[in-house]
Amino acid sequence: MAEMRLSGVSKVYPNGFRAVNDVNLDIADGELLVLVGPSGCGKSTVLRMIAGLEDISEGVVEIDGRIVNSETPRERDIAMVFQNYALYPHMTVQKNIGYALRLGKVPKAEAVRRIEDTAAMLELSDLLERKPGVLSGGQRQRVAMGRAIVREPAAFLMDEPLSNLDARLRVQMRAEIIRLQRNLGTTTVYVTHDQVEAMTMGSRVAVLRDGVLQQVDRPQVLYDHPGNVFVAVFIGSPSMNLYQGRIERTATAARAVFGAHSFPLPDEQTKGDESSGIDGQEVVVGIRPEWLVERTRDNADWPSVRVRVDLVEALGSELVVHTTIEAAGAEIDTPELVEASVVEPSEGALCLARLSPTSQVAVGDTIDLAINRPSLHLFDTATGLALRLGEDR
Amino acid sequence: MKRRIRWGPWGVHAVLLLYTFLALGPTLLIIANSVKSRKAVFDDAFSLPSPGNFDLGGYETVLTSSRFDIYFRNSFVVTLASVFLVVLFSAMAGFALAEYNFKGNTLLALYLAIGIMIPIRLGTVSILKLMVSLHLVNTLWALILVYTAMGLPLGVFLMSQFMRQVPSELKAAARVDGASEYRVFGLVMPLVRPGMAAVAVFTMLPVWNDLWFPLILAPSEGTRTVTLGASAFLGQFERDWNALLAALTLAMVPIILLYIVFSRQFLRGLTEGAIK
Repeated sequence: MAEMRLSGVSKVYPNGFRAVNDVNLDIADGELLVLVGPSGCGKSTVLRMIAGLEDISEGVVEIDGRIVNSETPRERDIAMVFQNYALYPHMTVQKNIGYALRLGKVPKAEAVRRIEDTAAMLELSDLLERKPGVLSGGQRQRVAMGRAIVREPAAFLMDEPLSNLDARLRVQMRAEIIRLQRNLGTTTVYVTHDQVEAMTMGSRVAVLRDGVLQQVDRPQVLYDHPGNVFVAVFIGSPSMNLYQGRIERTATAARAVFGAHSFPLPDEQTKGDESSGIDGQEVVVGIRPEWLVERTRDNADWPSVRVRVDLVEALGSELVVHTTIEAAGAEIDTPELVEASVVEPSEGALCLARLSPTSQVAVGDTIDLAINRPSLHLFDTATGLALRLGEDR
Repeated sequence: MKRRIRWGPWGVHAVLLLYTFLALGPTLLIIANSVKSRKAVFDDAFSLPSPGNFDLGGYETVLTSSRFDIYFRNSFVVTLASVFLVVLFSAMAGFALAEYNFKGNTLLALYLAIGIMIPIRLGTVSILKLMVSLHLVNTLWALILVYTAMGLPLGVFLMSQFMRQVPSELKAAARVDGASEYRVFGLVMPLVRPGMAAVAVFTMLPVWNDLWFPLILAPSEGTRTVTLGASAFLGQFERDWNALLAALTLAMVPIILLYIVFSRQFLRGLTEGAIK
């Protein structure tokens, strides 16, 4: 059991490349913190620095108030689960799980008991004499988990442990890991590139991009109140629709205008100061695909957008509809700036919508989609930061 | 439908058979002639042994007139000790070169690789002087040390390649599990067994067959190796072909056995799945 603290942690390679830049994280005792980001964002490097497998160029890593920068992995009392499991191929499952105990000079009787308990917990009892080569992917994954659990370490570090499993097994193991972590109450840092894993597993989620921490919060907060345009796009599937727009403000009301569309901003979004959008300010407008619903008699007075249907993907539980909207799309190109996409405004931009499977939309239709939210996400075009628009959070 | 004759496999087999014949020919000739009478060897060296010319006289000479038991023991000691030292040291050096990033890593690897290109025999005079001043002349240690030095360059080169192929996560996992660097090295050893077998084979053959260094560094009766012992039958005026061929045939047996042992490891290592 331990709490961990990363203060100003950076990783600078000899060629000057900053793989991780000034990461500050507080991880509470017993918490499951998920580090998520696209591949190459430095999330595994952060984990390896916590584990002691990678030198810490700048900053301080503390475990239980103890600065561990110069400690070797074995002095840090942490256990790690690797993406490809890294089981010792020439050892049986029992020896794999018991390796750390053997090195730690745990008395034999106690080691055997702990190995057996762990194996029982992971339903590996029948496989103890097998070698990793003959195990299935899911079994190997459980052995890798067992190797970490049996040590009763201060913390677990998991580096994309589920990414080599097939989809069904992944969902199953995901639940398994959550359950184990809750029962054991061991502080865990979990690295993944999969935002679904991040959302479902993390008590808190840290979004990392190009080595820079973007936002750390509970999953629902990340979804509802993304701090910047990157988090907005990264969290949620399919991702948020983004359009170039601007704020138009009068004495009594404010509107967000994008392309041919205009969206009245709710009262609490109108009374902001400069940071909440001044008249004429360039913004990126974000609309989640699940906010768009078909226009019916009940929602006739909601704001809507007119789109042309290009493609309908039937997923059974819902339809993902690809449409073209008359607006200029926005994409994230550089870390700070949001750039206009290359799509010609006349051609319109892609707009994804998640509609009910009972919907009758067909390719080629031009339809109105109502927006079932009182407010849109607005981001400053220059900085990519969310406009808080007077909200109190 | 017309059936096309596929020449590809036949061509490949023809080439391979020709090569096998070229490689095995001299060896078979030695074995065949070692069991023929002296007259038959000179009459027709290419004929196969038959009841008419069968003669084990060469073997008799070898086993009775000289101390081949000692020579064999010497060859074994020298070869096995050299192979052991070469495999151990090149595994350690290969691990360090593959695993640790330190200043001059590449330079050191290149420096070690120079030994592959420059034959150690060029330094024979200095080696002899060195051995004399160390009082190691006419000891097996002289040979073991020289052969270890001779085998290391290629050994280190091969082992560092094999070490690089061990997944880094495996080593990281061991370190997180609390393994010291020596433990990590020990953990990796079984995984590079094919590499060690390759190094062993490459080291073993030239050491066993070498005539040069035994002749110069350890020619005394008590330290002679098999190859040197066999060369004693090549006199200035008289050559006992029977005995020479018999000695060479006998010398082949252990090395072939050793080769089989190591090449088994080779294959076993190749087929064993290490990681997903």
